[in-house]
Amino acid sequence: MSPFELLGVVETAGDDEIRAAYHKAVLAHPPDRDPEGFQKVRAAFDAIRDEEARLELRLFGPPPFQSLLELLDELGEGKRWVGPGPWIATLKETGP
Amino acid sequence: MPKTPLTARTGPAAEATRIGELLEQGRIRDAVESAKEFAKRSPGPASDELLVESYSARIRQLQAEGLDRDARSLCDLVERRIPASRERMTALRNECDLLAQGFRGLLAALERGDGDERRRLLVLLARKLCDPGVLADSEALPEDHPLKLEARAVRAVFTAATSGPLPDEAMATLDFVSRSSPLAPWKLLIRAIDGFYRGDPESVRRNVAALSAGSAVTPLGALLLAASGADPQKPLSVPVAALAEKLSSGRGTLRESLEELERGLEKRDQHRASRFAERVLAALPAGAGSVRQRFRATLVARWVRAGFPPEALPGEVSPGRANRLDTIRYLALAMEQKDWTQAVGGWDIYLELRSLSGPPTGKETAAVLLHMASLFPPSEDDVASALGVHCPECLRQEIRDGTLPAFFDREALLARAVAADGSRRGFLALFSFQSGLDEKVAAETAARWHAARPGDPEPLVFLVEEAMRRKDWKRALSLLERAEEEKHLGPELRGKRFSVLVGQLEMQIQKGQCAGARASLVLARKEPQASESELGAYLAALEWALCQSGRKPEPTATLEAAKRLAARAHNPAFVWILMASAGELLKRSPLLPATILTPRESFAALVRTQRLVPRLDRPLKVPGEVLWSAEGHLDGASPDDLLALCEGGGAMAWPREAFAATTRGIASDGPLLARFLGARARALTTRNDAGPPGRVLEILRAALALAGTNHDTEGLGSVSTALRHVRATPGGRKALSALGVFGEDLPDAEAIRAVVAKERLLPAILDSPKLPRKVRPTKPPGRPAKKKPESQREELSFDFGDLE
Repeated sequence: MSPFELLGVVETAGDDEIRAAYHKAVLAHPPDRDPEGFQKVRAAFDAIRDEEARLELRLFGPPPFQSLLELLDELGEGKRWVGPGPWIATLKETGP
Repeated sequence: MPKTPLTARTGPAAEATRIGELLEQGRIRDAVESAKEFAKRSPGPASDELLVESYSARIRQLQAEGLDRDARSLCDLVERRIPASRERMTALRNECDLLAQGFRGLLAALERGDGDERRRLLVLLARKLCDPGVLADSEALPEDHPLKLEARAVRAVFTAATSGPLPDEAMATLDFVSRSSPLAPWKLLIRAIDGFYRGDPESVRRNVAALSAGSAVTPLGALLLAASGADPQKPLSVPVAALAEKLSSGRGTLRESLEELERGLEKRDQHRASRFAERVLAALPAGAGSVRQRFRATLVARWVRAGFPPEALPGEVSPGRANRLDTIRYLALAMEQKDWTQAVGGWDIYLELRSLSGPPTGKETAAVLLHMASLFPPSEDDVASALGVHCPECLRQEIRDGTLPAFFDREALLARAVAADGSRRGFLALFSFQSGLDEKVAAETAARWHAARPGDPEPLVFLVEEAMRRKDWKRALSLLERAEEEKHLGPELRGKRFSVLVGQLEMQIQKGQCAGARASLVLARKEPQASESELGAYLAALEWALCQSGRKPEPTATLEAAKRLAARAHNPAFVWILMASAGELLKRSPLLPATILTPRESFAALVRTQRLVPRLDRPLKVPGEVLWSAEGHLDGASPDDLLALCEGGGAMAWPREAFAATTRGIASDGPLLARFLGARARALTTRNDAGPPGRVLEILRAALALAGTNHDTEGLGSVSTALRHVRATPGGRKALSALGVFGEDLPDAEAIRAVVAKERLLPAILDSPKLPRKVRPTKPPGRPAKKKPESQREELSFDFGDLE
């Protein structure tokens, strides 16, 4: 997940918007209760906190994956809600 | 070795397991074939049971496909072949009869039936119910029929659970569905689905385990177990696997393509890598913009690493496509790991293409140019060598005449970066680069930098220091004053003000400009450093010298100044050193002290002098008698004080005392050993003007290895200082490179110990030819030094006796 996605801002967001999103994210992941989540939020904020950092990221990022399969982790669990149709169709296909 | 009989390897239990797995995976035909084979091979009740089980599954499959007649025929066949299956086949035939009438018939029979018959029909209904909607909308049941109400509730919650996060209270609406209801398995399925989406494998496991083997929804249990991670290895039938793929947004296909791409890259199979890279790109979800971008960066990096041609990059990563600017950027970044020359060229192309799509901002251009410059090797010799050019000057010439591209001119890249955005970063990079090559050009850049960005401290520090080096105190002070007016005077610059004022004061004393000197003294005394012990004492010494400069010396004021100096210094030897140094400004020497200098006082004075020298940034004059006397205290000195003496000896050319101190310092293995060795090597360099002896290099190598092993950065600094001195000696540079002091084969612990042991055995005193003979000790320690000749005393007469 890119730092922008992690903080929930668009890539054209300015310093103030990013700072506000960071404060909101810190409230959701306070360092004392969710240190791991806070670290991620903090790293994302540092990566895009000012124009220079954002330019750096745009020109010299994103970092390549160490392993190609890391991409799957980055995509997340990928659980999709498909509605009842495909479930019922599968049951009919497998047959009672 | 005898072959194991087939039956022994398989056996009824193993066959039952295998056939059970086939049935679970929906591979019913395979299960029937396997059961038939097994029955042929090992006839008996066990194999018959497996055969009946497999046929029953096949009969149900035929029923589900609407092939009732075929299902009935198969029931008859099985019953004939295995008479023990009669009861089961009869039940299946009845099911066929009911199903031939459809759900309507089954429900009608359910309405009629009671007791065991009703229970049997409910089980059959649970087994057949692939969609709760069938019951919910059935016209065969009245609107208020409990089954219909249950089915409607189940359908609503099932739809919710498969369409988005299930509200906490949703499951409570199914409380009225009893365990004996044909919809009970659906309730369990919904709970398992909810557990899957909430990431609760335990809930999935619990609810799937509670599903009865014959229920219609049981095949989905395997899917939920596998997808939630509760049982990732669970084999899935083809339709269930297809649903799993849908639920995971095509993760299975993606994983497969990524693995194939990895194999293609590893085996340098360009065709395979290209094919699967395209598949990965196609399988990536549309919303995953940042992951797609990162994959493209990764693909280009791996593509370059595999040695494939960049122009063959596949799909949307191809340099000819719409994303080519990004691709060129990724290529340049990938090249950085392989070949900096190509990477710099890649970035140059990027800048060119970037300007085609609209002018880049100054910041962007500067960032790229600075990045390009940072890719060069630090040394200009290495740059020339990498480009196959003889020397840095030849490199510049080849760039000038167009033989080499202009982007290999690092200074020009940095200058362009400065021109593009005029940032501090750009100026700093250009200035740092030029400082290593040409001080004059660097000074010009610093001046431009200061003019463009007066708030940046670096150029001001440089300009002030440069003025100080030229002893242009007026300019240095004016720069500092202007910075103060503009509120740009940071702590670093504020600290310089004292040094500048002292430098100006010394110059004014030398020139006999008493009024100016007095004003400088007043200003210097207002600086915070003036309250420090050694610096305050030095100012007192300067005041003492000032009283004697100019046309009219002031004896009373001189005496008062001397008293103030003595009160601040608290040590006659230190007073003498300060007077000797201040008197040097007037080209005169003070009288010898009337009291006997004790070795302890002399040693303490040398240590204090060593502390003072870096603050003043100039050496002080230490009378030989103080040095000689201090030698008597070496044995009682602490390692820190010994080290201070070594370092002072190095800085102020007292090699004999420094060497003697290192002898005491290396006598024991302590944390300062590497620094004592460095100082020893430095003291030894003064012995032989013909070049560094092998002994010096041996000590330096040992010191370097020791400091490196102990992660002793100060030790490394000490070695580095000593190396600078060795390099400065005639032939030193050549000897250093020939003997490879910086090589990788540095001495190991044993070799270091041997060097130290050897040094401990060698004479403790260095007979330095550089020391002037007149300060050599000629008397045993503890004896008072004789007074200097009259010619050295003249007007600067002062006797410590006056102060006592």
